Amino acid sequence: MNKGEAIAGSVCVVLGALMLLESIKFPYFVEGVPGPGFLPLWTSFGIVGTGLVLAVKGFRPRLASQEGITWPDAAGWRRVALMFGALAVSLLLLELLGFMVTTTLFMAIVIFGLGVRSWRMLATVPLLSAVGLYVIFAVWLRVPLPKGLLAFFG
Amino acid sequence: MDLVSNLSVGFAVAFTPINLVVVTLGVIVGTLIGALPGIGPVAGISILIPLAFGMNPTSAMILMCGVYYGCMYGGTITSVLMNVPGESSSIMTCLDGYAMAQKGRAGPALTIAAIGSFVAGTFSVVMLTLLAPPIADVALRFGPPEYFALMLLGLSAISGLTGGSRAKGYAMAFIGLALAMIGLDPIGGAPRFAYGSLELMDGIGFLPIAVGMFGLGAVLTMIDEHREIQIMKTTLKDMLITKQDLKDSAMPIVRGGLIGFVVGVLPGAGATIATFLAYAAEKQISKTPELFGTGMIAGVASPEAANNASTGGAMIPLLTLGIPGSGTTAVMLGVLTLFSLQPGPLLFSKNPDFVWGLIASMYIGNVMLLVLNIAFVPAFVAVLRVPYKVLAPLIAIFCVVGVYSVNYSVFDLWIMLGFGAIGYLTNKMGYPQAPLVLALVLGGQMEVSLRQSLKMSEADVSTFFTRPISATIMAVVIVIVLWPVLNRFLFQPVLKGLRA
Repeated sequence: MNKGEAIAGSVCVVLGALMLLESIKFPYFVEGVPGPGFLPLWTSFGIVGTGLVLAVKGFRPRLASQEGITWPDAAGWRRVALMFGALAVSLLLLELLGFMVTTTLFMAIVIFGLGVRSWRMLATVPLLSAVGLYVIFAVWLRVPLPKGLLAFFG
Repeated sequence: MDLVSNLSVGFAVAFTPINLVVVTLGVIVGTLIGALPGIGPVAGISILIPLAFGMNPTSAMILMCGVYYGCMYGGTITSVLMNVPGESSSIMTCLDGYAMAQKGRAGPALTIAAIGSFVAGTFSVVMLTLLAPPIADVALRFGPPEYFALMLLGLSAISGLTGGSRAKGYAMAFIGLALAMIGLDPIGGAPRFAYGSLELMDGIGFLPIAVGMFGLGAVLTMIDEHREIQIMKTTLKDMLITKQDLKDSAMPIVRGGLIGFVVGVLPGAGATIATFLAYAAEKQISKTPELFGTGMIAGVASPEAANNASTGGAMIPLLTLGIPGSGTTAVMLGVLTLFSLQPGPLLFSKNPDFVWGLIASMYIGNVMLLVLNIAFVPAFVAVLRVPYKVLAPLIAIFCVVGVYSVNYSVFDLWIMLGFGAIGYLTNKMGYPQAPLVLALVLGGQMEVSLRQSLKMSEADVSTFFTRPISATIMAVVIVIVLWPVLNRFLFQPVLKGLRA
C-alpha cells in the first residue's frame, strides 16, 4: 500500500461525497433547463470517481506503476514547518503589529531558522526587506498597509 | 494594410515611456525568475499579479508577457552554468549546454541560446500577428456550444496530457471546477457552498489560490531540500561565437522555432513538451546522433528556440478564443478577468490598443532580451548567488503583501496560506496544479456556456454533437479522454496488424 497516495485519493472521495450531499439540495432542473445544481452534481461525481481510482491505486500499488514520492528528510520538514508556521503567525499579527514590524520579525526569524548566522545579514536583511516592500507597495502602489503599532507615527 | 495600421497603433502604445519601462522590468524579472531553479514562469507571474494590478491593463499584460518569455531565456543560464534547469522547459538544454560549459564553451552556449530564442521568439510573434486576427474572425461565429466544447478541450487536454497521472490531472480539474462554483450561481444568483459566509458568497478569488499554489508552493518546495549552488564563472569576452557555431545552429533554430510554435498553440502541450520534441527531432535528423549530450551546439539551439517560440503560440488561443492551454496562460487569463477584460474574439475589435500594444511589446521585449542575455549574463549570475535562505522568505512575504494589496483582505491571506500548503503537497505527490487553476478560471464561464447551450436546445445534449465545429472539438475531447482505452484496444492492435 502506498500510504500517501491512498490518503490523497480517499480525501478526494470524502470531498466529493460532501459536495454531492450539498449539491442535491440545489434544483437540478429549473423550468426544463439545467439549474444551479446541475454542474455541481456532475462535478461531485467526477471528484468521487477520480478519487476512487486514485485511492484504489494507492491501496493496491501493483495495479499502477507509480513513482515513489520523495518526501523531505526531518531537517527539510523542520524548514517547511518553520516557514509555514512563521507565515501563519504573521497573518495573525499583521493587523496588530503592522506591516513593518511583522515583516521585519518574520524575515529575521525565518532566515535565522534557515541557517543564516551572520550578524550583519541578520541585522540588515530583515529591515531592508521591510523597507523595500513598503516602498513598492505603500509608496509606489499606494496600498494602505496595516500600520499597527507604528500608527502613532502617522 | 490593416495589419500595418494595427501594428503601428500597437507600437505607438508599446513605445510610451511607461510601457517601455514595464517591458524592460518584465524581461529582466522574467530572466531572473527563469534562472532561479524552483521558480518557473507560472510561479513568477502569479507572484507579480499584485504589482500588475496597480497598473493599467495594457501595461499589466506587457509586464506579465515580458516575464513569461523572459523566463524562457533565463532558464538557460542555470542549465548551462549549473546543470540545473531553471524551469522545466530548460531540461533539454542541460544535456548539451552543460557539456559545452564543461569544455570551456559556456559563453557560446549562452549566446547561441539567446540568438535562437530571439529568432524563434520573434518568429512566433510574427505568426501571432498574422494568425490571431483571422482566428478571432472565425471565433466571432462561435455560440455557447462551441465555447463550452473549446473550454472542455482546454481543460481535458491540460488534465489528461500533462503530468504523470491522468487521474490526478482530472481530479485536480474537478476540484478546480468545484472551487469555481463557490459563491453566487452565475445565472440564477442563488448562493452555493457559501454556508452563510459573506466572504464565500463573493466566491474564492483566483488571486490567493494562484499565488498560494504556485508562489508559496514553490517557496516551500525550494526550502525542503538543502541546495548548494555551484555556478561556473563567465565573462563578456567568453560570450563570442564562431561562424561555424552560427552555421551549425541555423537550421536547428528554424526547426526548433517551428516545432515550438505549433506545440505552443496546442492546448495542454506547452514549452516543455516543445523542447523535448525539438531535441528529439534534431537528434533524429543529425548525421552524428551519438554526439548529442556531449556538447553539440544544435542540442542547445533547437530546444531554446522551441521554448521561446511556444510562448507566442500559446498567446493565440488565449487572446483569440479566451481559452488558455497552459498553467501560465491560465494565470494570465485570470489577470485579465481581474481587470474585467474578456479575452476572446471581441478583444480584437473592442480593445485594439490593448491587443496590438501587447503584441508590439513582444517584439521590443525580444530585442531587449537578446541584448540582456548576451551582454548582462554575468550580472544575472551575480543575482543567482543570493542564498536561498534569504530569497525564499523574501518571496514568501512578497506573496503575503501582494495578495493583501489587491483586496486588503486578511481572509484572502488565509486562503493563500491554505493553498500554499496544498500547492506544496500536490507538487510533492505529482498532482498537477495547472488543471485546478485553469478550471477555477474557466469554471464560471464554462457553466454559463453549458447551461445556455442546453437552454437553447431544450436540454438536448446532442446539440454539442450536431453543430459541425462543436462536434469536431468534442470528438477531439473524446479521443483525449479515452486515449488509454483507444490506444490499447484500437490503435495498438491496428498498428501491430499493419506491421505484420
